[in-house]
Amino acid sequence: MSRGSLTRRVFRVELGKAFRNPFFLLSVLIGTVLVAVNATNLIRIYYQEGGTYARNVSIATFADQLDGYLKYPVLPAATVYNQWIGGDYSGEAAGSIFFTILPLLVILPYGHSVSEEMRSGYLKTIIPRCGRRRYFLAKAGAMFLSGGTAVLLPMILSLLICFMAFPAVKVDMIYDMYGALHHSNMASVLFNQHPLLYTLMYLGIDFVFSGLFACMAFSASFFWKQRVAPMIVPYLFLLGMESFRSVTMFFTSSEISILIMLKAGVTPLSTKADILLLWLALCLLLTAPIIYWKGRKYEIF
Amino acid sequence: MRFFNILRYDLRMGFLRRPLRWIATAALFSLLAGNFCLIAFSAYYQEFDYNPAGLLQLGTLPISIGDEILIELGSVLPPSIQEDQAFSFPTIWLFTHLLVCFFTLGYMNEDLTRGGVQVLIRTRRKSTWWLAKCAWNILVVTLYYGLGEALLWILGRAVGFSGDFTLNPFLFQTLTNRAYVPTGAGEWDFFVAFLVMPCLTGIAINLMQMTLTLFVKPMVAFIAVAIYLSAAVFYPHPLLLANYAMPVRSAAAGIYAFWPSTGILLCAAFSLASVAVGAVYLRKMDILPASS
Repeated sequence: MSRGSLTRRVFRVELGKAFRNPFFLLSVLIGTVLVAVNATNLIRIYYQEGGTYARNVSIATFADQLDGYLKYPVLPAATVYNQWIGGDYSGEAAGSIFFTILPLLVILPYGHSVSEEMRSGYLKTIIPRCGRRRYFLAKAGAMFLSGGTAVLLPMILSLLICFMAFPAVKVDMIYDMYGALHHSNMASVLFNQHPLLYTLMYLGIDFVFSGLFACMAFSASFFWKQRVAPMIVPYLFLLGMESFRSVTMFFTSSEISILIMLKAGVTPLSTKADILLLWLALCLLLTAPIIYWKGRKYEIF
Repeated sequence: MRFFNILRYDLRMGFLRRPLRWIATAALFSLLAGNFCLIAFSAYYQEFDYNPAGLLQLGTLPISIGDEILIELGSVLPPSIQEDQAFSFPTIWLFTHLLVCFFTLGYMNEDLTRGGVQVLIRTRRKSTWWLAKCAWNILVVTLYYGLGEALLWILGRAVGFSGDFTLNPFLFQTLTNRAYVPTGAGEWDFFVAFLVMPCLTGIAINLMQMTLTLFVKPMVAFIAVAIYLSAAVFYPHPLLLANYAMPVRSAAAGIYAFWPSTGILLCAAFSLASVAVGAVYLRKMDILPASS
């Protein structure tokens, strides 16, 4: 068997294990439930606030509320791009919880696999057959893809629901309190001129970072031998960094928390491309070299 | 084996042999104390004529330990009643509570599947083993909050803040965007609401998490706890126990009426229910893995 086909086979096996396990489904399910709650709340608010008629009549039915919306449409205030879970500016509960537990959702599908396989002795049988480099590379790739997909699927679902419920128009700068992105934010021109491109760009950013967060569990597995610690430590690290922003707020007006920067919408502080790139570098530094060096020297016996 | 022998074993294996965790706790609460100094200084920047050297004179301000705990561990009001200002998720509050959940997450489960099974067999009674694990859990959580709160108190006193719970109206307004109206609550009421309730709530939540790990993987239990804690930030409902761990929502602070007496009752009920469910489940549980 050629080396290329063996690499492909190992990768395919790892992909199958990553995507066909109940934890991947559970992760997507948790994300989907949060997206559903988020969309329901925002759609309800949208139609209720559509007209003063619906708000003032306490016994208004949904049809009345819809009527109110049709009479008094507030098109510029709510668009797909500031209502989907990534762009929501209102701080709705389910949406906020989704981004708060995002690193846990990406680690849940496959984060446990490395430490479990190290403990179970599975590596003693697989590594002599395919080699360390091939195995760890396939494992990292599968983790990256499963983590990214676990978050991407609910976010795409949210976007699709919003496309059905809200007008896909640009956010009006005159109604800037309703989620218009100001010039100090990264890619604000793109958001104001081509919001769909901006949204797709953010889906890509979220996918990449989610994948990297999942790989952090992989690198943590080399340092923590317990079953749980490698999965939780990366999350606590990211949450701790977010807590740290209450200190950095005194020195800079830029957002430093990656968990907040993953939101495409308005953030408390301005998002900057250079800080996002620094985070990308940090995440890469915490994953690729560690997996490479530790994996290369990993003793199976 | 007697109950205290198992508890001693648990304390050694799940507490004394993991000093890094306690160093992390001390570092976290020291950082919080430092963070509070920065927040207080920025709030009173004008008083110091915009001179950074004023940071050294923080002790002259009418600030108490109560303010320190309210700002750092007080959490925030739910977004539903602060529509007039941007909502900021209380990450520091969530982090401090999730950290202890992480400390207690894996130990029981690992002890049930690895060498600890030998201890369980020698105990002869599963209920004794389970009660020792619950006692260990309560001790770790109490020590975590005790160490953290003691550090905040010591470092606050070292800076020169008063050691009581007299709230500073200016800092209170900075946090809540509402005027502080004294509720007539005494020092004891503040002590219970600000220091005891977070610990009691932590005990109840950690016992729930430990019981949950009997049914699902620890990671899933941790996610459930994270969602449970986060939901309390948005919904001020008594059954979301974490509301009692938010000093800003306590009856003593005067905006919300989360009374400690109700909180203590609910925490006790949740804790007892967790212990009972765990004991009943463990009695019927096969401790040997399915493969053997």
